[in-house]
Amino acid sequence: MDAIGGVLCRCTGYRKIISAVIDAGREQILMSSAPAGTAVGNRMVRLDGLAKITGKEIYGADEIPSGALLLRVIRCPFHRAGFQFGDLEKYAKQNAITCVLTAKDVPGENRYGVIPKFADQPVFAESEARFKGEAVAAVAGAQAAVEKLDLTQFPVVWNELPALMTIDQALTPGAPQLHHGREQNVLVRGRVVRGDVDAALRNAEITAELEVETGFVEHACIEPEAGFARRAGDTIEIQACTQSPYMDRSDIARILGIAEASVRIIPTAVGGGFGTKLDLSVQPFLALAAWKLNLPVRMVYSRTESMISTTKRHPARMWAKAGAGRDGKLQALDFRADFNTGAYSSWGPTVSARVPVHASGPYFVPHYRALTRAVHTHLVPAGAFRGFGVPQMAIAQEQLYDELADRVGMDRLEFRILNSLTNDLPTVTGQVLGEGVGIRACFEALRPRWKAARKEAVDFNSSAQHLRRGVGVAGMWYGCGNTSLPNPSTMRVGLKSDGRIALHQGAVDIGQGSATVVTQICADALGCSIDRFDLLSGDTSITPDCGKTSASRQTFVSGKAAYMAGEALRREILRLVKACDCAKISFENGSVEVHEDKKLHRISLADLPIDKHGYVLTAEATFDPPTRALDENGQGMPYAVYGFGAHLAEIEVDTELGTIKVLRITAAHDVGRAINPTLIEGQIEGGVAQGIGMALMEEFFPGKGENLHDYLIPSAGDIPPIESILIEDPSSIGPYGAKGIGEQAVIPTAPAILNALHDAIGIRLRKIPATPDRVRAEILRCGITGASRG
Amino acid sequence: MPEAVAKIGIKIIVNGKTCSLSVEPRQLLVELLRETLDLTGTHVGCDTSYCGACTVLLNGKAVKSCTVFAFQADGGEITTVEGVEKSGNLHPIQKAFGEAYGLQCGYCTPGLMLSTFQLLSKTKDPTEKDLRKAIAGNTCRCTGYQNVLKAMTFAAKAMKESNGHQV
Ligand code: FES
Ligand code: FES
Repeated sequence: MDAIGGVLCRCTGYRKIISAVIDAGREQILMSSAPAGTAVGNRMVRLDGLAKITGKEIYGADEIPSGALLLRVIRCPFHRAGFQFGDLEKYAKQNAITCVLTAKDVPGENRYGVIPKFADQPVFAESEARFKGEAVAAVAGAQAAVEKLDLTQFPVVWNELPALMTIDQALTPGAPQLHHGREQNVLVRGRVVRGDVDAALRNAEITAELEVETGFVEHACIEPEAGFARRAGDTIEIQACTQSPYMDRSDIARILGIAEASVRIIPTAVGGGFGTKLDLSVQPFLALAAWKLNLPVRMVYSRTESMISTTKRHPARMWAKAGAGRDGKLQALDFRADFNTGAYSSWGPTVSARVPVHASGPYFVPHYRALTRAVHTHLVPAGAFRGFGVPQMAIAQEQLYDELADRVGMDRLEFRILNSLTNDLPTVTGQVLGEGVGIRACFEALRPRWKAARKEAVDFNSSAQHLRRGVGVAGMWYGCGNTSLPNPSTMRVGLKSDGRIALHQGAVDIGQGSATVVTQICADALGCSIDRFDLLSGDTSITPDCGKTSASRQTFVSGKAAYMAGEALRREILRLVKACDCAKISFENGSVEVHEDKKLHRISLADLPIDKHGYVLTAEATFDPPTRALDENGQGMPYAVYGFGAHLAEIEVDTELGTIKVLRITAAHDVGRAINPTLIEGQIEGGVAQGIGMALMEEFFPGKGENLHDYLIPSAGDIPPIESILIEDPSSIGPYGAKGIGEQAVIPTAPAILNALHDAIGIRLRKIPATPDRVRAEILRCGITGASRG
Repeated sequence: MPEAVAKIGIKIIVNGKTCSLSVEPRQLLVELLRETLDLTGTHVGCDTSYCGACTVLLNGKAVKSCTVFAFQADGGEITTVEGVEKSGNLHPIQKAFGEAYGLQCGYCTPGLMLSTFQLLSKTKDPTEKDLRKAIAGNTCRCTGYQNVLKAMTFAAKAMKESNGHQV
């Protein structure tokens, strides 16, 4: 415990860990080793860190098999177009290209998608391309020949067609329909209803209403998608950056028309994922070419190619109305949202399903209705981006609750505390969590800074001219894992004859540190020091299925599987010598000692037979979090565990320029148990940075600004100091009480900043991000001057 | 077949090793490093000289190697992330990035470390402003920069204590 900086409070039923950044007085050097049984809760150094600081890490573009051909993709330059190819054979010959691939070359199904039921995206468009950037053909050949091609000269004739660019256009009766069976271009609807929202809103003493829109947000992983494929007999091997090797395997098998067992996915290190590397990118092109040619083929997306063709955060158009009593108690929320899901389904169904479950925020709302639609347009597919629509939703809901608090005349933080969900109150899906609802603790942890910051802002504003300060708060809850769907992870752990432990963990570490966390958990469950562990990951042929790295599920679900596998191996060892559960195990080189009361059993590992996995003992465990399907009103148990959090933003607005500077973010998160506080703080800080980007600068316009010069993401100068406060209100289901954090961290930042903007100058924008032009226009519209607001 | 382009002979020192190479005039330094010399620790993240993932030291100065033609480096000395380690020991900057958890996915990390390298070779006691300025051209999408700044602080301290060790 002593490695953890500030253990401040355990008496309130939860534990708080606070750490500030660049706090020279409290340098927390990470631990590279910990005695057996003490890894959990400690700031262990990440296990894959060394390769990353020495430059030896292998990312998607870093390995090129000898003799590999280069592949490039021909993409539609219009939002929607029919097309016809010219003489492809002649083109290949003239340009010394090994082959040209089109839809005709797909031996299996020319269709893929992350949710099999909705799979609708072709590898190559067949007669009409439905978004700018959609692939229609590919060329593969020797590097020099392929590099020098001017792809605008590719023999294809385009016939530009009128495109649906907005949700409204797509919903207009008579609009062209993108996909058969999806009337009015509605991919899917989501719905959660509880109580009688209409009556409750009619009777509410105080109501507030709000409309807000958000745009496409680009993941901007610094690593563009890349990889290579090669054929080995009847097997296709694909080495690429991915968040979901097992899903890739199924899709590639379907595309090639071969068995899954004939597809081997080797995920490289991932240079940022955030949801976009859950969907296929380079893989199908590489697989098709390598399969057909029986030669290794590689490809690296250019930044522009990555931006125009990979998934984005869904633009959302939201309306909400809420009611409360004069006592400040929330009574009702009516929420509607349409999401622009682009040309293909990707994760649109997940976004539409997840948002209605979460739109109440982490509060008790007795009367509730949330309706969503995911709507197809002729734009780049929107998919998964940290939070599956919940960050957009929180921008509407948390601003609305601020309005309501103001109308009630209550302090905005106290309003949230008053209405916080508790262990005993039902959620909007009728689930009583019974434990681990740490939202109130998160808000309370912000109280001291809230009071101080508000006073500082008032003091500053009393003498400032065009600069105005504001303070905002926002809360968040987020269910860990898939929404009411099976979601299992399997871990295998083996004891080697030399006394080392092999952990086969298929949870892809996309930078967040899950490989380290999962090992910490397994080590403690087994009772063995983490130094003894050898990690085997990143290859579908050697690891059991750990699902995908998404939905904040790896610590919670894969972590729990690792816990169970560790415990199972421990039991196997005890069984060998018929020792009781309470016995202590110590691992030596070549042997294991079991200490039981006064007895000491020594197991010489070299004497044990080797099992089919190559170990002297092997244990495997699967965990699938308990959930229950939602009924037609969205009532049920969508998640076993939720994470909670709240952010406090302090900002300064330049009313003459319309610019916003974030001065400080304080972030409190209930993580159940901080398996590795440093890694969690890292998730929070990264999430906050993306939240700042989403609030203030990031908006992708398909067809414009398809590069990182025009699409701005925060740089070091944009990110203020971030203080993390970790609350540990444990879950009895998660490993050692842990919940997820990956997506939770990004959700409250943007609404907290937007609430601070309102606090500073009294404006709410209809369109987010709050770029200087929008802020300035609203300032002018409202006639605000620095001096006129006292 | 592609027409033959006249190649240019260059001599550069990469991570202490002298290399004589012949390069196409259009070849970028980053391509030379990654493809010809197989030093894949230098990364590529954009096409517009923006992200800084490709940062290396050219004659002690941090440059974006996607913005320099290979032939422009002729006669110069280049340090990439692979050359920061000395005799098998991690450089204090590398140690600091590891110990302060100054990385997540790690894609930006080599570039950030080399920008830090340039800063600390000149400024022994950097202020927070110096730190932020030094990495203004290095974009990181994962960390929110907090631990990167912390790592830079750790590195500055360690290097000062060891009296400018190795820089
Ligand atoms: S690769 Fe982005 S700046 Fe060089
Ligand atoms: S650690 Fe991922 S981009 Fe910096």
